Amino acid sequence: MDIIRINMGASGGPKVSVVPSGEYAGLGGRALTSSVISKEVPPLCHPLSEDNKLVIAPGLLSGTSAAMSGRISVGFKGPLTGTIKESNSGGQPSQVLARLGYAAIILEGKSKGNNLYKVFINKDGVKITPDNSLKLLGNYALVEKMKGEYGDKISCISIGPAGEMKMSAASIAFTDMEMRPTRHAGRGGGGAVMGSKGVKVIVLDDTGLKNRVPKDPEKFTQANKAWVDGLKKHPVTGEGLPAYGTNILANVINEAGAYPTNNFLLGRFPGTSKISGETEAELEKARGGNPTHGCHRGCVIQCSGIYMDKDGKYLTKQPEYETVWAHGANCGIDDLDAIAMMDRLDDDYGIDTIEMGATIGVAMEAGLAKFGDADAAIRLIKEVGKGTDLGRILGNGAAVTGKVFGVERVPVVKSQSMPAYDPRAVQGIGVTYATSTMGADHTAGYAVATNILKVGGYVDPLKPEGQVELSRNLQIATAAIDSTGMCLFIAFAVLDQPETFQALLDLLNTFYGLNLTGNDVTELGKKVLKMERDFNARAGFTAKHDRLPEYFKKESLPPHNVTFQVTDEDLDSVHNW
Amino acid sequence: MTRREKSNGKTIFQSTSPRHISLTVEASLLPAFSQLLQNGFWIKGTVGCSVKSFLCEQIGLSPEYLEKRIQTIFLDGQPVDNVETATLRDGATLSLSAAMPGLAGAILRRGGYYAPMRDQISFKGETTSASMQSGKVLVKLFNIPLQEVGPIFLRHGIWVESDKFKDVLKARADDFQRGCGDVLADGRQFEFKQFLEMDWGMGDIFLQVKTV
Repeated sequence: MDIIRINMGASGGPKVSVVPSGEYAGLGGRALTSSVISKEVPPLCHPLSEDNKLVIAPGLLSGTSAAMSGRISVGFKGPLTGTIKESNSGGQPSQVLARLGYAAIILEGKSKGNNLYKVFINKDGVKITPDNSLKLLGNYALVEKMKGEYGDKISCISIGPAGEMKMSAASIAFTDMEMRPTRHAGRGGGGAVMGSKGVKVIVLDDTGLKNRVPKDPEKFTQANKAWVDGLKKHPVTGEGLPAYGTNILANVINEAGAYPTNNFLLGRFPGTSKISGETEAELEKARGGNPTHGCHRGCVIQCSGIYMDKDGKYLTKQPEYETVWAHGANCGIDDLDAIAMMDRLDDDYGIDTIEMGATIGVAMEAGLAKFGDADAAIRLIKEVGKGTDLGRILGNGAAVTGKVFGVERVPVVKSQSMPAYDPRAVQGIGVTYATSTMGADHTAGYAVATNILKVGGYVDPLKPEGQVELSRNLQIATAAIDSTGMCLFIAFAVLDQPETFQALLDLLNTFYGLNLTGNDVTELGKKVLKMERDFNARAGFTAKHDRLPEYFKKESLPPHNVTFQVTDEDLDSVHNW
Repeated sequence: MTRREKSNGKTIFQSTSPRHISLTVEASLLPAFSQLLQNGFWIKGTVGCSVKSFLCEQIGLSPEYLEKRIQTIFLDGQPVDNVETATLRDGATLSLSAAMPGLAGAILRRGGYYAPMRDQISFKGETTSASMQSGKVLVKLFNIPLQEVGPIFLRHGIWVESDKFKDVLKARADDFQRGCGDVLADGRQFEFKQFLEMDWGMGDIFLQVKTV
């Protein structure tokens, strides 16, 4: 597979080169993005400078007929965090880009002048042209325009106004199966980097191309069947997620007292049943929407959905657990329609919903709005989209907003907002928030088969260092899975069913003609994490940055009245292997 | 039960005995009770027993169902790992869920490998059979158990606050008007519209919901 490099700052205008993968051959997804960023981006560069790069890479199995292989990784130095970032998304572009034969698109340099560019990639090659009529278009209007120009068989990777304005909470949108810009590489400000390069949209068209062919087609098909069977028979991937989506978590996390409420003040929200996944699914069905829907072709878990408004018209994709929490409980809001509207605005402006919700929570604590005021929350998001002075503050995330308005209680690590689990109630997640290379990140340490985690020695989880060891192993395993292009929700089925984990290994081995084992997967994950840690160290990050905000150690969280108790020494040992 | 007319023409039923309401509805109306079941309802029975004993011997769930389908359990907000030693006190809250996705789901899972990551909030009680007595438990149902076991609880009967039950009916009054058959209140039959206009006052009611 080749790599497309686009030098946006070349003299005479942006220059496209299609080059062999070279030293990056055999890598995909996060392994590829982190390799490029750690090798080619000076760690001390300004994230919006010509020295930063934006790497968009499908996974190792993307573009094949393997189920669940549609995730795409976006790598960059983060404007929000200053660390290396890998931001991950679903949608169609991963499959399409891989079928077009590319391991990655790398945007580098910085365009001179004020032109905004669109990139078109099909089987005939790559074209980049200026198109200033796209300036400040929302993602929805932009995609409609691209459909008008290039037809309805395309996929789009785009930024909204937030990315053009280079806001640190800006996301990159990826179109779904219905060609709506509803899937996002949200975290860390990738949209701002794309905006700083002057690229508004990348249009992909794989018309005339087929799925990538495995080395052993017959065994690959068998492995895929075992893979799909395993996913479908597991109650999480085969029943819970399809029926209720990720917001199936709301009631459970709330019951655990870990559902951050009113800017992480409380662990339970009284209005949870009004915004739960169960209630959301029933509302969608009653209005003619669909709570069981895949974000990319080949997804058999189908945790996504379609949300209609009161009049039965399409409003947005089914808001995810994180979005419902961020704009809901964290802001004291229990109105699903208001939350869905905020999700629509976030998608259109191109903003990370987690960062936006956490930022509104901080803004509410600052007195800009009352907790529970949904209309005020919607107005604040619209300020971001318009790029007003207030909007530019909010669009740069919770840490900046907290600083500007003098708020102490800002729930961030390395300037990235915490997601929807309070670390005081679930301390192990706090370990991952603190020590992840990405900033506060709930997907950085995921569950995989216990046989992976026992490779290299088994640690008694009841010992004090058990939580640290678990977090370390989970981060390693996640880094490996992020490199395959597989959706992380495979994790539970893989955890419970060794034969399903074996099916994943068989997919990789029969496609590439390899003999990977669980050990190899672990080693890949370790390699990726080491690269990321090294980059962050060279960027100036030390152990002092692997900490939660102090108030999590002092302020008790109701209802369990717990504080974060993992010691700094334990946090510092996470990455000792 | 005694009947009294208020000055506004509404009928008030005053009762010193528990109020028993039984509805027969179309199956499509069962989701209307979803938030009631998520927020919790009371079951009266024997407490001081283990979670497993309560669910299998008193409620009638099979041990296989409990093992395979209810993989996340909270007792008074604390994740339970051992259903044979976790004991129900009078007035306890018992929440039932399927296995959950993601890292948090794996951590909260009953007896899961990642349970140490939430050790500070885990349930650590033990069985004491000597304290068994009559009492009540607040049961909350989420996701798959809500779908699968919710109708069973509704059929057998649950105790709920009357104003919360009224809210359920009012929120979808037109649907209930169309899809609700007989309404029995303390053994007396009412038309749905008449029933909806009644003023039941405060307090708990024993609610049974059957489907046609």
